[in-house]
This record gives sequence, structure tokens and C-alpha cells, in this order.
Amino acid sequence: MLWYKAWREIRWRGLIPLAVIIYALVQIPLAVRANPHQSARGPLTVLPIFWLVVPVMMGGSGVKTEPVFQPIKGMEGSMYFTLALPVSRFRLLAVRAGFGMLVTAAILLPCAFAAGMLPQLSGYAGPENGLRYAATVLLCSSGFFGLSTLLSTVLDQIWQVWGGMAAIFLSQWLVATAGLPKAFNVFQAMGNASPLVAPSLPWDTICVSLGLGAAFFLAALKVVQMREY
Amino acid sequence: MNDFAIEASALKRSFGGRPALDGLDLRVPAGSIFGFLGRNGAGKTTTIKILMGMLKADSGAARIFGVDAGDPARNVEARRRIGFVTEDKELYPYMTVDQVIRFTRPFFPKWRDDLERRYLKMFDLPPGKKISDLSKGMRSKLMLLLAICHSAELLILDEPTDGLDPAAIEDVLRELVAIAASQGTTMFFSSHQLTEVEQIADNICIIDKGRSIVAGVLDDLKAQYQRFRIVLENDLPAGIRWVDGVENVRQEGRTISLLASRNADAVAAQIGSLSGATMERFPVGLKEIFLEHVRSDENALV
Repeated sequence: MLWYKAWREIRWRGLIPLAVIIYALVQIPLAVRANPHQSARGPLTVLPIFWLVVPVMMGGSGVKTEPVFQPIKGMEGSMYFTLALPVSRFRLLAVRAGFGMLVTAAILLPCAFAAGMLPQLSGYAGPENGLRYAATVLLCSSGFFGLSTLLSTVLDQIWQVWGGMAAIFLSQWLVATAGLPKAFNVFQAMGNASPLVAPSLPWDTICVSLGLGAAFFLAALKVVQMREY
Repeated sequence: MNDFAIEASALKRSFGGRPALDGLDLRVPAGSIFGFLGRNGAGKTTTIKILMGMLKADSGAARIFGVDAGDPARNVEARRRIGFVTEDKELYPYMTVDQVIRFTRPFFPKWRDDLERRYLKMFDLPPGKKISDLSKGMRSKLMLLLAICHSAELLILDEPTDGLDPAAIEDVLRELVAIAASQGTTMFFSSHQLTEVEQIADNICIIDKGRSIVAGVLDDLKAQYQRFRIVLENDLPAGIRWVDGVENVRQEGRTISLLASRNADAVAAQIGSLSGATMERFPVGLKEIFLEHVRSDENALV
């Protein structure tokens, strides 16, 4: 039944990034049609930010009751009811994070697949292209999903989302200015070095993202297990 | 089977250097209705949170059903046998009454549908109404339903009648006594309503500043405690040493009010030995016992 609780708490939360992504995907062909000489690099540079908003919105720890957009009376106190249930904190976190990942995948995979099918982005449209791009987007977003889950263990939901957004822009700034290894550049991996442009999947970035996601998840688990309420 | 559903010894916990629990000792006999009393900030909720695994003790031991409450895995198993009503009575505000029942039921294999139907009707809970639209009294009733219906062996109730009207309080108290009698359920409840505690509790513990200051079987305590009213003809002998058991002595003119927590007969004999003193003895209620122990009294002679 923890799945039911997770579903009730986040079922509307993905709507905003989903709407924005759909809007962006509709706008890309229109923009390219209006200006045929425009390079695909412009949209490909911006798209990763839209993709990363989804995992940032969907991370969660399952301990605190998570409001959709604003706190509701009783949200904070119901945490004690949750903690009194005969389930471990590991299970609370795992179910909530697992469900968040499913919803993230449910939003990102079709949208990224649709993006990969746009000839305006890669010059070639085909299901294989879409599948490779969708897999890249989902796997490369795992680090930010883990980070968002970790933030949710210490911050209220609204600050978790703002913190995640700040982390997106901070990491973008870091890879641009601090000379981080290419493997850390998820923006390139989902954008101008993605399978839409490059011949192969960005395995180094995928591995780094999965590793960071797992590390953040383990840190979140440690926090939830150690924390007092 | 363990004789005590809950045991705590020398339990300490502080927040920011301020002690909330300062060596608390607590023993809740299995099958008892145990009133846990104290002023605001005395440490009641901190104790309950430690028992439920939400807080860790700085030192000391807390055990539920004989297992360490601070062991996460064992605490999960213990919670399967515990019904809990939280202090603030908050549930998921986005669910309806029916949804929160259906959410809770699968966690407890011994859930009793007959009790669920009975209490839904008795507490007049509307299944389709959202939690966020319920009054605090209605949420209290719903939490009681959720705590009772899974056949818990121990009910931990933090201010269970908070927000209820007097008629509902009577209904709830009667049901709690009936459950304890019919199922042998241990009830551990904190309350500010001393009349409620006196009505149903068979054991009590009064805590103050994080320490247990009075504990025992309520009837025994009430038998031990006696109030004496003494009218003196002459002044009290200078430097009089009262016998063991005198808790509090207040004097107004030639009238003395004295509370004895034990040795009432020895106290009566000492008063009888005072020259020209007349004495009356009164039984003492829980409220008076509580107030004598938690209220600072600047006029007290002892």
C-alpha cells in the first residue's frame, strides 16, 4: 500500500514538466520550419534542462508526506502516522524512490523517444534513433534523481525542488567553467553529444550518472535510517 | 510472556543541551490501563517517540514486549503489535476516511472487519469524507479506529480524547475499558485530563522534568495518600521533624494542611501528639496527587 500513498502524493506533480516538455517538442519543428537554416544545436542545448526537471520533481523519501505544490494542513504531522506503521525506513524510501523512478521513466521515455523521432533534431528520424536517445536521457538523469531523493530527506518538498533546480544550473556552470571530465557532462550527453548526433551512446556519462545516482540513494538511505523525527 | 509491555530504565534524552528525559524509569504491566501523566514539556511525547523508534535515547534502555525499542528491525516487528494514536491526530489529508482505512489494513494481518464496521458506525465517521475536512475530534476517532481494529496487543495513545465532546469521550473511554477487559490489551496513554485517567487507569506514572516522580497502582496510591487538616491551639514546636511520608505542609494562621504520601497512620499519631491539635483526614484524588507533585509551591513548609 506504500505504492498507493506514493501514487497519491506525486500523481499530479509530473504534469508541469510534462506539459513544458510537450510544448517544447511541439515548438521545435515549428521553429525549424520558420527558420530552415537554424542548426539543431540550439534546441539540443536547451532540451537537457527540461529532461532534468522531471527527476528533480520526482525524487522523494516516503517518510515525509509530500504535498503536490503547497503544504496542506496536517502534512507534517502525518509523518508520525507513517513512521508508526510496521515497515522499515528502508522500505519507505525504496518504495517511494522506486515509484518516483517509474513515473520519471513514464514521462521521459516517451517524450525523449518522440524527440529522437524528430528529424529536425538529428536529420534522421527512426525508432532506433528514438530508443537510443530515450535510453540515454533516462539513464543520464539518474544522478539528479538520486540527488533529489537525498535532498528530500533533509528538506521540505518545495526546497527540495528548488535545491534540485539549483543543482542543475550549478552543475551546468561547473562543467562549462571548472573543466570537469567530459563524463560528468550530462548536458552534452543529452544534447550535442547525444546519440542524435554522435554515433554511439555516451557510456562514460551514463556510468557516472548511474554511479552518482546510486551513491546519492545510499546516502539518502543512511540519512533516513539515522534521522530522528 | 513478558510481564511488562513497556520497560524503560534510566532513560535520558536532551535537545540542544536541555534535558527532556533525565533518567526516566517506567514499567507498564502487561494487560494494564496505564495513565502517563505530566505537564507540557515533562517528557511524555519524547518517551513515546523513543518507544516508537522515532527518536533515540542518549542513554538508558527502552523495551517494548521485551525487545530493544532502539533496534530498528525489532521495533518494526513490535509496531505490528502496537496501535498508535499520535499527539496531533494527523493523517494523510488527501485521502478519505475509507481510503485511509484501506491503506492501513494490509499492514496488519489481524485486522478485524467487524470492529471496523462497529467503530465506523459508533464514531459516526463518514467514509467518503476527506481527512483534511475532518475536525480534530473526528480525526481522533479515526485514529482510534485504526489503532483498535488491528487487534493490537498494546495501544499507545497520546491524548486520545483530544478534541472530542464529553459524550464522545465517555463512549471512547468505555470502549477502551471494554477492549482491555475482553482482549487483554495493554493501554498506555498520556493525557492532561486527570478525571479521564482516574476513571479508567489502574496504573499511573507521573513524570516531571523528565523523571518519574510517582508511579504505581492507582488504588494503592490513593489509599496511601492522605490529606490532613490540623487546627492548632498553640504554635508548632520549633524545628519539628515530620515523620517519613509527609510530602507537603502549608500553614495559614493556626490551620495546617498536610499531605502524606505514605505512613498515614504514623503521621496521624504524630499530629495526635501535638498539644491541643485537632485533626481531620481526607482521601486524596489523582488530581491532588498530580498537582502536589508537579506544582511548585512557594508557601510549602516541607
